[in-house]
Amino acid sequence: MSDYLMEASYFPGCTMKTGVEESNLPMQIVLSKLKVKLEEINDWNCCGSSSGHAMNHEIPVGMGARNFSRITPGKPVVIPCPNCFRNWATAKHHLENEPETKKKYEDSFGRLATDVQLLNIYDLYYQVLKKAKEDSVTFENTKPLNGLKVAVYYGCSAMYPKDLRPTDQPKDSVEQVMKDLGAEVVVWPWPHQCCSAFVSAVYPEIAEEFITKIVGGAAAAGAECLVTTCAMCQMNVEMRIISSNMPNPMPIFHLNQLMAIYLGEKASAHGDWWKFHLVDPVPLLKKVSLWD
Amino acid sequence: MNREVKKFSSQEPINMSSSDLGFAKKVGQVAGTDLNSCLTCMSCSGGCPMYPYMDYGPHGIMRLAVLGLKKEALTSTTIWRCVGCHTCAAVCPMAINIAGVMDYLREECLSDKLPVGDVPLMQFHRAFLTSVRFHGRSSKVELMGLHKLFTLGSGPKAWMQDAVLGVKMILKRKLHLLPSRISGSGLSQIRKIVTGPWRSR
Repeated sequence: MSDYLMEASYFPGCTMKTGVEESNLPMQIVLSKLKVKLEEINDWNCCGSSSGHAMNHEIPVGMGARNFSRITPGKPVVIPCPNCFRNWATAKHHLENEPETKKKYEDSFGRLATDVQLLNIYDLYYQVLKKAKEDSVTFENTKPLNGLKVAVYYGCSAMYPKDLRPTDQPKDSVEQVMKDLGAEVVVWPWPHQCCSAFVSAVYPEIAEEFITKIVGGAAAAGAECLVTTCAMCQMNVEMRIISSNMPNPMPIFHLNQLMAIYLGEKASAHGDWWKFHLVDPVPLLKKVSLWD
Repeated sequence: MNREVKKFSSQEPINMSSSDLGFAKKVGQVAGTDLNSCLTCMSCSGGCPMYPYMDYGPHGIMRLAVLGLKKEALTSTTIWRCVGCHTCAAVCPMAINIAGVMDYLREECLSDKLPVGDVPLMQFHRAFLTSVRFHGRSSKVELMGLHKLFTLGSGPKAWMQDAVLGVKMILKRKLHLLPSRISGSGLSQIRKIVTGPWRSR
């Protein structure tokens, strides 16, 4: 029998591959603790991002088709970036429903394994924690995130469009994960508010307006930090907190980091994660006794 | 950027002389949706994060498409300031794929060689896809460099924008300076996919 609970193909995407070490490193630790084995897709390509479908509707389908030709049939694909996930799911939808499109790309790339399950990273965490609860499995050396008041920030890509999401996932899966981890989840107005995505790079003033609204809303609801699953949102929030000189900056964690701390990683041993943050989360971790 | 006054807010009658009544049907076919089911409830614009900065807003674009006012729709700022977050489609009571309509309209604007409503945003997409054509993957640092190059005409404010922050992030290695790339054979496949009328804008 395999030593792993789950084996999956892994699509890092451009962001995870060339940056965001502070999320990538804890994710690898968490997955090995959860006995999930990921194998990076050989010679994967960009999913097309926001610009692909903005300029030509065939781009995300074509790029998705090439990726589908490179995965191992039968294994689920884990995709950490919500926008990559959406492009993958869009490509899967078109390739499965338009036989002539699929044939066109199969002629170029070979067999397309479009029947695999696509999993976002938080879908995976939710499923694993749910299964652990049902089977009364406990993880060793856990450190509950007691006292951490957190606003769960999905961003716009994570839950929409509903048709492209797995049917067995609730809409508040990350809130449920955070509660399982022992954190205090606040109710706040902007869990799905757009962070302004690429507009941030062209019109920073719009991004600053959006981020001020998001961070202000979280603070007014009593949160001390945000947690997100989207590296783009995380970067935009931090960048615009800095560029707008916000008086009350709030750290924003990657879900992977909080999962790793819960599963027994010492925050103090991971300066290699925190050094990448533009808004330093260390004082908060010390305050809620999660540092050691 | 300043907030825009909405073009449909005046009491002036809408000029229908250039109307192409087959347009709504064509848009609907391509985007896989039925525009005539639009209730004009404005839920889409209520949910749209970029609505304050648009000239029509998503509900206005739906109206233009149904009325067949193709040129007004294709040259609007709305289609370019749409970030593609899909909130409009998620809140639409008639489940119209509004974000898909926006994608189609941008593509039509480029292939009809019409003026682009927001050039810096279009050039961002062009810079991104150019970076993908170089490596098969995107590089954020290169993307920002290409975008500054493509929008040189926008003036010194645009050149210097976020330069300090960007350098800080590169030094922190939050952004890697060098891109990750795919194989040579993969790259020639990608270049066949990542193409279109945008390349000549």
